[in-house]
Amino acid sequence: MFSFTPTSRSDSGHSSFSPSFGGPRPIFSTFNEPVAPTKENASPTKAFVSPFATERSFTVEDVRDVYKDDEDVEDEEDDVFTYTLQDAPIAAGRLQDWRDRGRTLKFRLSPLHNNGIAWIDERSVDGGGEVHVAPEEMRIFPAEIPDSALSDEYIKFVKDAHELYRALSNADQIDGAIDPSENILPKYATTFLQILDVARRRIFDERLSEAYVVCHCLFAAYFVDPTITRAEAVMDWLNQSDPRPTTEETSDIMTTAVPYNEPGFWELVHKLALRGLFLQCSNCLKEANMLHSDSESKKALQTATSILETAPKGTKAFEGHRQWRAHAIAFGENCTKLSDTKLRKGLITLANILRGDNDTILALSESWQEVTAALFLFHDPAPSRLSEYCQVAVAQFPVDFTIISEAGCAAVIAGDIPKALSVLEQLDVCVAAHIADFCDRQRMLDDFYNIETLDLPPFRDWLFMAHGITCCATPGTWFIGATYLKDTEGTQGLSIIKESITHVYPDNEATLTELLGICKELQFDNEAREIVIAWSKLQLSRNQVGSAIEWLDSIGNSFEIRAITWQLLESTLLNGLTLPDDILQRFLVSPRLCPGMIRELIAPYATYFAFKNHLNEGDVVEAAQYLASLLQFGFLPGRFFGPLLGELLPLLSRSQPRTLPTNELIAIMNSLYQWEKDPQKYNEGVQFLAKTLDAAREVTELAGDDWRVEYANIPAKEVIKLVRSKLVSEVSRAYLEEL
Amino acid sequence: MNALATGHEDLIHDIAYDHYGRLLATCSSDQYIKLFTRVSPSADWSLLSSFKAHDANIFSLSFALPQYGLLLASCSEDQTVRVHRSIDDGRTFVKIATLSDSSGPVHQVAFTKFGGHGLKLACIGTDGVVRVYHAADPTDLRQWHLAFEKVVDKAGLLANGVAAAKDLQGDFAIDWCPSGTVRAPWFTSNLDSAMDDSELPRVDRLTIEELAVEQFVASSMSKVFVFRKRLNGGIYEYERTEELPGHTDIVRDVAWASNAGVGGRYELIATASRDGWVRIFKLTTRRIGEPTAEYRNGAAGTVSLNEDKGDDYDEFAYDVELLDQFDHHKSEVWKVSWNVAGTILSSSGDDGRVRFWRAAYTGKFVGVGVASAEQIPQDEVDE
Repeated sequence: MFSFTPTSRSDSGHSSFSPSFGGPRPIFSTFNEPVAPTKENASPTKAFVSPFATERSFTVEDVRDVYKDDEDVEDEEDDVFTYTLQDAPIAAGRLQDWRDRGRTLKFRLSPLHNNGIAWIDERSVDGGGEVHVAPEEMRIFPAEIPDSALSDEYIKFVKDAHELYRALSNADQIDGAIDPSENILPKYATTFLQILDVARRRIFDERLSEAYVVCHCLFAAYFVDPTITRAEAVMDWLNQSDPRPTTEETSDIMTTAVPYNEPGFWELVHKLALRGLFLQCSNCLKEANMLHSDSESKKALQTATSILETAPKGTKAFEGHRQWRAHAIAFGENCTKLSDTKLRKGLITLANILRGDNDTILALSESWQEVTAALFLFHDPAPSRLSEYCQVAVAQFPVDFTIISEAGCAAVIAGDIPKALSVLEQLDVCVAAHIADFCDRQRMLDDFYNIETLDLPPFRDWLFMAHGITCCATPGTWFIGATYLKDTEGTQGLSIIKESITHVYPDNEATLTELLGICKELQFDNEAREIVIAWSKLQLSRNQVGSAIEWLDSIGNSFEIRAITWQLLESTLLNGLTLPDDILQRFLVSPRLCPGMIRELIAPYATYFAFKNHLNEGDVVEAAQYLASLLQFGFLPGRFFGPLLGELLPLLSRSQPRTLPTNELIAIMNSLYQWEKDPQKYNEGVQFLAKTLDAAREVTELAGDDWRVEYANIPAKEVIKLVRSKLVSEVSRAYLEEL
Repeated sequence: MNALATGHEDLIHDIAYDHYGRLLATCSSDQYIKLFTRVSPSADWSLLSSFKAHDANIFSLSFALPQYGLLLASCSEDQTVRVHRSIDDGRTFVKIATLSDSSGPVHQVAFTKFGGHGLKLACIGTDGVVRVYHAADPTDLRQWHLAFEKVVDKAGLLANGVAAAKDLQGDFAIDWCPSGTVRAPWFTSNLDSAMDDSELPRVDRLTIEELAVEQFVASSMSKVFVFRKRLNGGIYEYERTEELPGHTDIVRDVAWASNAGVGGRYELIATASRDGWVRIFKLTTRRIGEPTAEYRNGAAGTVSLNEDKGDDYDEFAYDVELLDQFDHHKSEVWKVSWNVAGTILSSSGDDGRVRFWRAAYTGKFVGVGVASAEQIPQDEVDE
């Protein structure tokens, strides 16, 4: 998941809680304490009461204990995951030299993603002037937040888990309505375990594998498939997580000529029995080549294999267990009469295993998990006794809390679900969040939510938020993160969506539509507006002006559309007419087909566009009409008046037929008078006119119909004077011609 | 991800991400700003543009919210703040405004981060004055007017006698509150103490106007203050309000977290100081005149349940408490930075390390990792 360069501070691996443990700090609780109950932390009133009753209870105090621990370790340098930046700029062991050069390290987090940029700066700007700047000091160093960068392979797992979560959420609602008694969770738990199994094999991540072990243990204990018993499921978990005996061990003995004569034969048989591998155990006895000729021995062996092969399984296991165990007890008593000492001892021990004898199981087991699973399977498979067996087991085989998965499994078996979740959170937040969701749906966490946790979010929600934030901060999984955040109670999840949604870059319209869909669903009207305005700015920068206007119209933003209109006019007056994009072309050419607001707001530019088009087509009279109406537009910003007057110059030429009637000429003169009367408008207009003339002088070639071809070298104020003069001439010409 | 040679010819003093984290700007003593774009899917950065932006060292950069287009502000030792605009998605920039009110080098510049606050720009420099500029007409970004200026800590500056010093990089810092903050009194005016969590008003349902309390945090030497826009005699103006106490040396950086991660229940501000501490302050809303505020914490957000309802919407203040502090850098801390949700804080400093802190279940912060800029000794690599 996270690529890093190991350092001396983080080379102890990911699987232990040693002081230099390389993973994230525990957030719920710390686990360097035994699971065994203590007076201090036992609090039945606050505890989750598991079906496997336990004296150990998880309380909010456990959560707060984290901080005691944190304070304790604060002085321990780098008691957290440490990695080295790629191309690290400070030479090993030269930190002090680097500091003596007046350097410091700075870092800024990305506004959305789980990474940031580090760079080297100097502590005093003036103090650094004499120090040579090394090439590496002019680099930037990308860095990721530890434990948050998701690989493509891991993202696949996140997506698969999310799909299952969605399916479960839908099914849970539907099934809840149809048949509340039917528990659909084991089916989905099995699927989740399969997804996790595939992921851990694909990703080769040690912590994900450890999470799988804890997850498997929890599902075996609490989300068991109805076709098998919990005892079988727990044994199955043990056989998968710690397979014994190994295939090699079995084959070493069973491939010899007379396996029975091998020193490890009975050890093998007993281990197979202890692990509930009855068929294999029976086959070993059958294929042992025992050369017993007496009928008692033969009968005993037959009875042994028969008992092994008839071990109750699945749905019948629980009810058939008592009778089967009675057979095993009777068989053991009968074996005491066997004359062959070796056979007698071996079969009695076998019988003792099958009847669930504590001493025998403890003597033959190698771990607390093995003892617990065997006692659960053979002694009494009642779920309420699992934690009792666990206590017996850990008394002889203490839990190794330096192995995270073992600590997690111990918490599961002891019924301490919050602690198990906190272990999972440390291994993998995505797994922990989903497991918490399963537990929450099964109401296994209800008793933790009480007056003491009022100011804290529910476990499941907190984990979903942590996972949701990670997803939101990972490119490509923001929408998945939002799903999880939406499904949390209270305002935090929604606030995070609200805060982060505008940071999602809408690289295409599909993403934009999806973002707006979420805004609509969650009634984030302001964010929707911000997203659309930002999108319209992006579209403008891509020269997709029509699209920008369309989107702004969709949110009724007349202010921005008007601004675009004036920007278009300004740009055109400065740089000449450019071909509009298809949508804008449609708006300009067919205003009646436009939405009303767009038609009204882009009218000034559409008028200018029509003026230029008619001019290009040689229809000067029509063109002049459009220009005249624009010059008379009461809300025309003053800065445009100057250049638009310039546009009028070629139309007032005496060398061509008159283009404007007297009344239009007088109206223009009136507008000109009004404009000149307003000093601010006049100055803006003259300045912008000068700018357009400057621009004309800077370009090598102007369009043939550009009025500036002829007047580019005339000062702006002279242009205005010229217009006034020509207007007067044209009025007089009109007066004369109309006589 | 490998280190990237920026092409600068001198030290880099600041970097800034755009709102999406897809563009990255760097500034340097070489007087240039360089813009990089993130290349998908490699996530590497590629140079997009480079331009000379000032006539002296450039100290700080800030991107405006994207609804104002691609705007980048920079500040410099040349005593100016400049606003640059790109209309072609960052390929070219044009300087559209120069703000030269400062009487000394300007060390930090920051655009507002919350959409409801309009287009504003705050800056602070060696004159110890915080200035806020406002572009009242977003369609004409050439026009910025100075909306506010105030010496952050006059007494401190006078006492230290350093106002005219030139080499005070990092002695002044500023950061806007990035989130909408509820105007508490009217928000709580209709609350009943017997209300269930599900009945409480939802912070995430409030409009932008209802959330638009404008505030920023500024530091000057070892003093850190919150400034908030308040209604004063019928006129809105920024006022220095709460102090974040306890710094024993110069504060190098301040960072105001998003309050999303705590559902808007309170605010978090981090400071980096020369005294070697990273501090995280928790600011909880209370009514002015109510010294012992009562709060109700719940899943729907924490709201004040004061029965006394005032008419002035802006009359609220914060209870300030030090939530956490860390001295793991064992040296001067120069920079603090928050993630989008305000749940992860980074700090960096003279120890050549970037340290990451994460909000734990109870809201307190715990260390989650360290990124070291120091190479590993060869013998450890061999191992």
